[in-house]
Amino acid sequence: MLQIKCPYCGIRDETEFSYHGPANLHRPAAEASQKEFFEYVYLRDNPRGDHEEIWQHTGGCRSFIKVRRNTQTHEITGTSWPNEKITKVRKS
Amino acid sequence: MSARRLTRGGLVNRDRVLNFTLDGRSYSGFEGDTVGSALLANGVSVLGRSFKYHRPRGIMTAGSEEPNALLTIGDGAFAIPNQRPTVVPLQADLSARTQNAWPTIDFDVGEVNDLLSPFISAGFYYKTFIAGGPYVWRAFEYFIRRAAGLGVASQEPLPARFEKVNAHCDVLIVGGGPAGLTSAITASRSGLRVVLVDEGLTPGSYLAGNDSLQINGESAENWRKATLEHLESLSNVRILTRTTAFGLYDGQVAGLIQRLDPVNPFDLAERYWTLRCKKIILATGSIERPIAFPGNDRPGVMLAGAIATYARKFGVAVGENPIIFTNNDTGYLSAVEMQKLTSRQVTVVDTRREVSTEVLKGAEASGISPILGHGVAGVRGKTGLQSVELVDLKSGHRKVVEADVLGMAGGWSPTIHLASHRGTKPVWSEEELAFLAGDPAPGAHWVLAGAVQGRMDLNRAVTAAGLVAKSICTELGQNVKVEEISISGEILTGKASVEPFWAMPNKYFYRKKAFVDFQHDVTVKDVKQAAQEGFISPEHMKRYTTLGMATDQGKLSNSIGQALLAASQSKEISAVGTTTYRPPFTPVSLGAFTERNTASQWMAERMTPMKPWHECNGAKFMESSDWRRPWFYPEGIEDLTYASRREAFHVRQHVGICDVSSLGKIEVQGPDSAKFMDLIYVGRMSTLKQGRSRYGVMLREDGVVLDDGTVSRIAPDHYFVTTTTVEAPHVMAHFEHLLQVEFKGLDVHVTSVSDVWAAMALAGPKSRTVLENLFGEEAVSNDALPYMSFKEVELTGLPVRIHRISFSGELAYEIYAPARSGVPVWQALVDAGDKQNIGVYGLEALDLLRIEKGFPTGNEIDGRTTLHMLGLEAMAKDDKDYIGRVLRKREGMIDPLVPTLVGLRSVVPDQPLRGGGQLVREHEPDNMHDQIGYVSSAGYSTTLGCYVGIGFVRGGLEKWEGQSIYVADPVRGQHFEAQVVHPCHVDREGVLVRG
Repeated sequence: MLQIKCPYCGIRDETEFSYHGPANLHRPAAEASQKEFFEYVYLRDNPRGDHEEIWQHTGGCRSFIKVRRNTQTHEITGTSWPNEKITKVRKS
Repeated sequence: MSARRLTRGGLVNRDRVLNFTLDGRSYSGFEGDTVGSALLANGVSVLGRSFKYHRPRGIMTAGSEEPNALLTIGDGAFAIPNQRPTVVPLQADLSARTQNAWPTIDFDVGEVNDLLSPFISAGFYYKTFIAGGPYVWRAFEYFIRRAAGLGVASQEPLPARFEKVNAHCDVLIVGGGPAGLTSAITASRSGLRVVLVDEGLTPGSYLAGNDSLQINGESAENWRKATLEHLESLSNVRILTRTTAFGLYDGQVAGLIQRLDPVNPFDLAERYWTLRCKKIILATGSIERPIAFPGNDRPGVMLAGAIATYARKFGVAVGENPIIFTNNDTGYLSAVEMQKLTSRQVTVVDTRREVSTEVLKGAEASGISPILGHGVAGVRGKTGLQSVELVDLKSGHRKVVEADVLGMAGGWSPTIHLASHRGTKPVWSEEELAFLAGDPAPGAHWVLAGAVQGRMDLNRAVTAAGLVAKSICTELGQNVKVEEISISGEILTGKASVEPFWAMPNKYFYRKKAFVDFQHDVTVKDVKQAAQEGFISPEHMKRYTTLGMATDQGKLSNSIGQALLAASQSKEISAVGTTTYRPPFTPVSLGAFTERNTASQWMAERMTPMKPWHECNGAKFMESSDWRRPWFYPEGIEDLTYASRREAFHVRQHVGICDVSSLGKIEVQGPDSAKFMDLIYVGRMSTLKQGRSRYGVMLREDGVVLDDGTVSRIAPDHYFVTTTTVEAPHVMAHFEHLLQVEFKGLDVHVTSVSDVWAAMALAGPKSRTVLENLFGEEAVSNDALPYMSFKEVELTGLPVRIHRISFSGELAYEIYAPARSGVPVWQALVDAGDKQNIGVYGLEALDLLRIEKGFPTGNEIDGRTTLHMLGLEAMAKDDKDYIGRVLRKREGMIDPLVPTLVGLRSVVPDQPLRGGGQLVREHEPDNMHDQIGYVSSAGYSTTLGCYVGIGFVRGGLEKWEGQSIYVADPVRGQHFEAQVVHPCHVDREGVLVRG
């Protein structure tokens, strides 16, 4: 079971969180084309290695947070608020 | 006592006799025995019938790797099948049963399979049944499943108790053998929290009961006992015996299963641990391998190390005439120990011609003269070994020797399963002739210690284990001194010099089976056949032959299987590789995973505040997501159908009250609330006047409808939103996501208040009169409280909010009260409606009423439907942004051919129309192919005296209104005519709600 550090609550079990998709996607402006919206909703990268994603601390403070997870090892190497950059790298 | 039990030695308590039964026959053993050692002491040789060929099988090992002897242990509901007697401790009055044999273990009809074996080799199922088509398989499935198998589970619920523990430690040590114990001593000095787990009845492995080894000058057994006592006295060390670390998972989590073996079966049976560790030392040791020779599965054929273990640990001589068949030096260790402890003359047969003089001298000193360069060409004796045919591997010269037990010493496979769980690939070592764990990934939290690294030299293993523990402590910031340990006695001082002799050559196999995987009856021939037929990767071979797929996961068989697969392709084993080990290491009871979460504890149930009232008034409840909602209130012998029709009709005639507290409720507050509401809903909510409500629909960003409900504007910067019961959590998360991630700039705060408010619907032509009785005529008149408005009032001091909203098409209200005053407010309404003949109605009647009105709910808004399909496109404001605005207009979603909402009525009034029926054009009961729509919800309308429904049909009302269509319902065996009408079956003009 993974442990995720919620910036508000601290380190908590993965089971308290729910996944909400990649962190690099942002809703296009209202006047954007259908194609842009289509890409926002459907197109996903499938990177090997580090991946920044949005999780919600559903069973806790309900904050949405940014999580950097290694898709190969599942290791979580940092978290932050969604609009911030993840700076802290956990030493392994 | 039987002659097999030695007069001394072992860890059994000869003063405490325990009686037990196997298949009803009585036996006895001692305290400290496993069921397996007690059976061997009683000379019981046949303990099971094999999976496929139903060959008699006996105990082969002394540990959890046991492939053959699987018993059902326990009585009645407590009976647990497929237990390994080699690890289950003997208890007084234990009852065990053999498996997979009919009618008895000694005379088993299934044995005919052994004769039929030429026809049921590898791939038999695929070739015969898959190629033969589904009918062949269906015809034979029952018999095959009956014939091939393990034990049968009791059909009763298991009354045994299980519990779950979450725990933390700094260092987890898996395995309490020499390496595990030494690392534990060293690690314990750091003050760090250490957990040592061991599968056995008592830790120590090779050291348990061992008086022939000396450790630091005393006997190994004494050292072990003293060490355990010392460790147990420390507050920072916890020792768990009969505990298996069955898996290593992400986040340094180890899954442990601890068996408590209670004397009283109702006491705690097993404990499931989720253990978080900072570091993990895997001192899991190694498992001895068999050698494939004809008849190597016969009862009496065991692993050499197991024979020695039974003598050492349990004081049992498993036979009178033992033979050890070895391809390496460790066979001699077992032979010498067996001979010394049991005073039986042991014969050693070695496939090697060259053996080191040191080993030969040691053997001779014990009176053993090995037969070198020989193999085993066959055995005699079906249910117990009688003799063994030896063959000179060079000259082919044969001789028969008497033997009642044969120990196979085919080398050792390190128990690398847990390392494999962490994603390292096993690597073949030509030097050790075994698969070793690959190097841990950088930053891994586990290390190996002892024989699991492939070391067979005890002194080197324990020294290295101490150093490993020291370095782990250093990484955790603690400096410790390594425990100095020196071991002397009958030990190997170098490598075991294993010869890569995996199986007897082919020529000895004529019409005889040499087994590789005992539990799944996979023979050398099967492996070779798989390779011949092109299944040359170990993964394919595994699936084709099922080698390694049994409950023992191929603990004995994998290495031999891969070696034979490599040999059949003239490849190196390293080039072939092996399969991946996955959790669990040994089978784990399902009961341990569920622990107490069964029956009513399965999941938390949410109750509305008025639950006590419903219970007192005979309500039947139903589940609606995690809520328990009143379903119907039967009178007398009424069933659901009658009660719900009566309740619905009562609402249309008089007035009814219904608990709708489970609806999702969200408060939206803040200066940008109006802006946010416009973004969420397809309709315009910013123009909603204070004190008024509006029906709203929200979409997902992909344009599909997410949910619907009402929006009420409490203040300019304050909205109150309701959602459906089921979607409430998703809608809340949707709001939060938008506000926290996508529209962070909006100054809005959302709060879920679903549990804060009790909500009750009051519906029916006399609903206003009921409210008048309580609040006076003026307060609730059509002018004071028009349709889609709300107001706050007081009821005997309790704050109450009345919304004029209707989900039934009747004049109706929703009354909101703080949760704690739910019952008094409800009761006040019921009392006030006494003269109006107020009735209660449940979820079923609520559903009938909304179907009559054609209102969509979960069956219609099912995550696939669009505004267009629901006929709600007119609600959308397209001059302003809202979620789903762009993608809802995708070509496919507004296609005129997409089915849209219609109403349906059965032409024959009594013909039940039900949700799930398919709509077709023609009356062709067999033709299901031109389906043009479906019935989403339906029920009997007491108002119209016929079945009514709503559904979706291609072309919609425009094309079909007034026309006939057919409902095909093959599941219920129905096919009948229905008429397409407007989805709103009653009061289309909405006169009643506004009245």
